[in-house]
Amino acid sequence: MTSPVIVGVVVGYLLVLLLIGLWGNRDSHDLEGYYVAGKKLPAWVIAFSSNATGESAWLLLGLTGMGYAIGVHAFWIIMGEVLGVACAWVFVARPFKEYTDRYRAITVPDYLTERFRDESSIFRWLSALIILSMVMAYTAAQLTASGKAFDSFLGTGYTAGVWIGLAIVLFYTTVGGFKAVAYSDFLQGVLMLGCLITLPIVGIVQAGGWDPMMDALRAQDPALLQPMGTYGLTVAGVLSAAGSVAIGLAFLGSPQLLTRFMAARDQKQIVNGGFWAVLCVIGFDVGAVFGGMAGRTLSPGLADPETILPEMSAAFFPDFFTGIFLVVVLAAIMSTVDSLLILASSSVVRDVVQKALGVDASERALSNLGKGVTVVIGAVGLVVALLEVRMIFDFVLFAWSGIACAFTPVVLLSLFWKGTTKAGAVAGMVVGFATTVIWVRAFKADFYDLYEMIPGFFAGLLACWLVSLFTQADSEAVAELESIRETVGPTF
Amino acid sequence: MPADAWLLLIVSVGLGLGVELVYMRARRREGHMGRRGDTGRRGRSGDERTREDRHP
Repeated sequence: MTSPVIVGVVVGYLLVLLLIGLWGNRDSHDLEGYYVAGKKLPAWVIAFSSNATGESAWLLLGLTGMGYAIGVHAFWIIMGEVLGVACAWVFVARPFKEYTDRYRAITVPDYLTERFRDESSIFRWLSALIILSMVMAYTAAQLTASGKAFDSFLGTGYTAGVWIGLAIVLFYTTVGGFKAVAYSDFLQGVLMLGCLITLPIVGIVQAGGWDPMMDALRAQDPALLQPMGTYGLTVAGVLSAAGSVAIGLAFLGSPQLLTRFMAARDQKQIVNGGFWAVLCVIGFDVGAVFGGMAGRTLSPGLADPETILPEMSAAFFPDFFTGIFLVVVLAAIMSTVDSLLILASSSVVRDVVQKALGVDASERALSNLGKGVTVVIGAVGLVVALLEVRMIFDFVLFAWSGIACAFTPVVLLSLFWKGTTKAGAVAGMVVGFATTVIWVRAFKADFYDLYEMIPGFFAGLLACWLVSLFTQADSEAVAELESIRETVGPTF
Repeated sequence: MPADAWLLLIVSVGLGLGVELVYMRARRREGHMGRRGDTGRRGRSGDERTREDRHP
């Protein structure tokens, strides 16, 4: 029988989210308010919001599951994520913020269109296609996690769990826009950090202490304590490690993360926010991996490693904290789904309807359209989630890399290389995205299961660079890049 | 935990944290030298120059 305490904690949390949605509503009546919170966010909000968006249920269920399944080999993921977050804030954030402020851009396609002086709206159409397809997959994976979480913790059944998760996030995202998204992400990020600091500590104590835990892991499988895992120092092992590190590449250019930089109040927030973002991701990832490792000693025979967090919370915490853990899992899911929905909605309304098609409508009408589109996209994600139950970790990584490989190479080159051309950028987006999809469908299983981010990112980078070499950069754009560099100054 | 696992963990955390700390130190030094960086800008900044300036 489900504990009323757990239900009470969950209901209380969901009510807070609804209130945040209502609070955000007053600033969501034009496009800049709905999609980037009027560019008024402070450092601490963008730091936690960025990390909470980037991590999702993958962190709470997937990465703890990885810690459970492969132990120390999961440290390579920590390396990739911490380095990725740090490099994004240090190298990408300030020039990107400067560019998007000059352009009054509120989406990444806005930025690409202005950066390359595009009159044909090709970046808008291409971005919409990529974003919509990947957001559907990503959202479906998160809703799958919602179904699993509700079922594991409360026994609601998978379908009901999917419905409840979507209903709540759709309400506060539709009503409150990006302001509600960012502040709820902040709350969710704090909860996630608290959980991921507490979980491994309690797990290690329950396992009898650090040394007994390590001894138990070694007894189960010595590879759990080896950096190269069961692969050893082989080609497969090196590629597995490289694939794990490559997860961090997405932080450098994924549009759902870059939006936070656009929404910062000013450059100073970016300088201050980076430190907190790095500390936050360290806490997230180290906590998740060690939590999973502790769980391996306590519940060694789990059929699905991705249920280790609910298993541990039910076994070792009183009902109130079990409720908190369910809330944290939901927080992780919602903090990603809300950002994805806003991203996809902005792609349709701002990039396609307002800019590419040139529909002449008031800001209020467009923001209302944005809200409607948000609901439709969420509904499609729901249908996919209800039709197929996939392993969260793999599906999320595919969608994560699809978006990242389309945008990251092009964003990086556009910010740092004056030779980047419009044709090169288009080629980079198409090749990066296509390589990711083709690799997963046709090659991955036969090539050491190499994570698709690696071939996708480098193919996109190479395509953008090569095509740019044979085409002409706009002279005004080149001068503008130099002006941006002068304004932002050297990195170090 | 074996030494190589500890090394991997320390490097995993230290690389990114190190990059951020060096960056913050550079920003503080820039601030103390009074250079126009975060709080003042040499060129026309995003607040001053808009898309309309390029497309009158």
